[in-house]
Amino acid sequence: MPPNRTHRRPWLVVLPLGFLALFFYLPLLGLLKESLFTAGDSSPLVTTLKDPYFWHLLRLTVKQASLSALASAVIGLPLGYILANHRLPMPRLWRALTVVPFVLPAIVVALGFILFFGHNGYFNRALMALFGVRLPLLYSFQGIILAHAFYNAPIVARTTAVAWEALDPALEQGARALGASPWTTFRKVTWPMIWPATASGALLAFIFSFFSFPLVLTLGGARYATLEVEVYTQVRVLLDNTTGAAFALFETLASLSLTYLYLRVETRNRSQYGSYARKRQHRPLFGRSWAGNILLVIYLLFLALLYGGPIGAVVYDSLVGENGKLSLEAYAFVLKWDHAAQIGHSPLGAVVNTLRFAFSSMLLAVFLGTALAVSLPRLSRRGAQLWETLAMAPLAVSSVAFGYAMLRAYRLGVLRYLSLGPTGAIIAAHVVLGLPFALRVLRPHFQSFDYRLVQAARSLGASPRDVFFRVTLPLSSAALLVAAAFSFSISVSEMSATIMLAQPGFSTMPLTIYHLVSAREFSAAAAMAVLLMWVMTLVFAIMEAAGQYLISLRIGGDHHVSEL
Amino acid sequence: MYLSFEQLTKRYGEVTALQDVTFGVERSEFVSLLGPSGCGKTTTLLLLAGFEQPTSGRILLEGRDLSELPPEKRGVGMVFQHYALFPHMTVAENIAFGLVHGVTKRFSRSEAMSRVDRLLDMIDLAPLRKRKPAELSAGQQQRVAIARSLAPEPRVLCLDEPLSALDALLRERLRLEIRRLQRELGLTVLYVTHDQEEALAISDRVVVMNQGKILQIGTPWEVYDRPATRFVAGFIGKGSLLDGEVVATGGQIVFKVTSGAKMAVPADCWCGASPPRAGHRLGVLLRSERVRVTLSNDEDGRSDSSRLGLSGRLEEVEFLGAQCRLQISGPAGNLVATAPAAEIGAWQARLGSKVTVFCRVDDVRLVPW
Repeated sequence: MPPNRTHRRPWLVVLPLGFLALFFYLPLLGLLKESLFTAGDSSPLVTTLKDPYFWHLLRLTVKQASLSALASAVIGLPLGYILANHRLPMPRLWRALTVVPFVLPAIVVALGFILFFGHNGYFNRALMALFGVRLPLLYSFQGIILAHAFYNAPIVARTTAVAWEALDPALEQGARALGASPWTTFRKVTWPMIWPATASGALLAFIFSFFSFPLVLTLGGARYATLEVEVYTQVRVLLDNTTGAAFALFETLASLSLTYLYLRVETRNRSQYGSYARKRQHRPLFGRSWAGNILLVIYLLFLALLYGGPIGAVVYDSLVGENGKLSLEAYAFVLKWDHAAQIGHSPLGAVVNTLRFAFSSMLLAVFLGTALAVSLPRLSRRGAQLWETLAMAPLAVSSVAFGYAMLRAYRLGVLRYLSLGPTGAIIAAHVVLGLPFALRVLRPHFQSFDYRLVQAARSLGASPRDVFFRVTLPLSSAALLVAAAFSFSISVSEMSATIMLAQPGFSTMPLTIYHLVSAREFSAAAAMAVLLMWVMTLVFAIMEAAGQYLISLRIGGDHHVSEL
Repeated sequence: MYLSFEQLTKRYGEVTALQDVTFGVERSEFVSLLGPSGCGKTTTLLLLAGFEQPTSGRILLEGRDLSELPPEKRGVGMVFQHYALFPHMTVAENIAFGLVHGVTKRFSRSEAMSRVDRLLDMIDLAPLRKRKPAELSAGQQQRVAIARSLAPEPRVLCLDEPLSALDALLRERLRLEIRRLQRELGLTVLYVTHDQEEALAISDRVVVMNQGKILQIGTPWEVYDRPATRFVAGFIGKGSLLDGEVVATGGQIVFKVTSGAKMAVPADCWCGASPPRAGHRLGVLLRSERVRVTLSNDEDGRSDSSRLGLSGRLEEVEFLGAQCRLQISGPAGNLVATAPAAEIGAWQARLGSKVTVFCRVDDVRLVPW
């Protein structure tokens, strides 16, 4: 399908890349400059690298992320096996579970963990009543790791399940027919084929845990700060901008190299699987072996506790008033226009802000993403690769570091001439962070778009403009909707960059939850969290439906939530 | 019977994949399961190998019920359609897999290697032993897959459409090679294919299946010459299959075709299991190589006690190399006949002419509708 090369429109490439240059690359350059050269004796980066506290934090962060990745793999691997090999009751519920990391903003997870696993949470109260003991899970290293496993186990499960599903079942059957036991078959045939996928899922878990911000900020306290939290502390609490900049620069370099590593692993995996794969027969969940069934029940109960517990606790708490009876007080509080002291802003104002940011950044991200996705197939392969990498880079940069770079740029740097104000800066940041997700959906769509349809329309006498609006756009509606939902949800749940940019007295839904949690107003936080979950669920339901529609059309390939 | 399937039924929810399948395989026999896709032939193999459990019925191998045995203890070798070679192992490691990792009998490393060497010699791939499957041609991969399945000396070897992914020339060569191996090693083989020509060429006996049921079991000649049902008649070989109705039975079977013409043939032309009854529909099979075509201006009614005559118009002539095929349409239905290759020019010159197709009454086959 050679796309039409004759009609190049340079602005289609220039506009999105110009936007990124202005609001992403320029702020990062400013960060680089500040951390390398500042009036004084030595560069802040050197000072930081000599600081033993920095190395302590780095060690802690690496340790935390490694253990989180390990825990995610241990919890996610059995789920990946089940998803790929078994027939499950309520398949939609299971699919929902695998999109948990996308649907649940981290701050909501943090709240759920406090309410369920906290010292006075439901879990410990139950343990106390039953056995007279408590498990000190929260505000500890274990708590952070468990919360990260909650978040990332579904990712490992999904990458594993996708590889396992793609594995030709004849390979395992062949091994069995040659006399190998199920365990030998797994060890010698299945695992060597799927471990790279599990490893890439675990690497992703490592990256997410390394740069995890809201969870560590809320659950870790000062003792378990990671580099990401430290950037925030230096800049917003200690007001030490130069040290903050040095930390942020280090973080940016670390995240870029980790993401590069991940992409290398992932590309290598993709070429591994055979192309003849027959469809896997899904077996019933419970098999013949008693031991296996008991293990399965224990595992499922564990999952129910880990996932059902915190989410259930959030919903329950939002509905329980001060006196322990069902009430809607919390919602009434959250939906008030009045100023609330705990959050320095009116709660309803936060909802309005969030929706305002989400809609504006969604429109911009989809527009810029479409412009780029439409023009990339028309460029040479190397050029397209370069521009695409540049546009995907925000995915690989620590959000707190980026938020700080943005803050610096619009206050002191080049962007101050644009008089963006905090609102504009937040929207621009959300666009930058949402664009990679929009592009990930739109790029393959326009790459595999059947341009013969365009040629057919042109040969029937339609103008390029008519062809775009009457053929290309209608056939792309589902892909556009998915891209929109993605960038919308990124903006709605974004907290890391936002917290860096938001001025006192200014809030969004995730920030409000954070402030309410800090003020220990858990019911109100829960009510806001439930609202946030509703928004996200709605968005993802639309996305899933659009994805299904996309598959049924068989045009932009089969990209839906579970693959992204 | 060495291997027997007894009233095997397999259902997937509402769908019945296999219904009351019963047949046996002798030791060292080569039996093909033949049928269109979805007929249940692969399901039969999966049940034998133990990857699926039957809904009811059982499978006996050397008199022993296999139901409770897991796949690795059944001694059933399997060659898959796309070979299923382990991509992360070399050719030699693939072949050695069953020898080194088998649960029933394990070989020492040196003995396993000498067996691998022998198998590699047998398939003429000794120089490629260190290659990975991806570095082999499709035909080489297939031979490795066969050697791998033979290594643990299975009691039965199953082959699931093993040649379908290869080009025509290679297919015929490997077909001969599989048959040679089976004869030399005295293998008991269950061979699944949808290619009727392949099944007829390679097998001792053929089991024809459709929609989960067995329609006929017999030697290749039997299923070709005396198809038991109309489906078998249409699925195997080339010929004209006309719609007819039984008029009378007895020493001869009298039937009429859709043009109205009545014809009589000897009673043993009937191939169905139960005897024909007046008023029932039947299929009239005229194999294309057993009919003769002549130019004529006459209508139907040229039939006499020794031959049937059906009139029609010559619609198309196809040149097939060894012969040519004539497509004729007539009041009784569409007819197919073959003619010597050298006559191609003469027939092409007569496209559109009226012709009569003759068939000796002994060569007519009647099948239940």
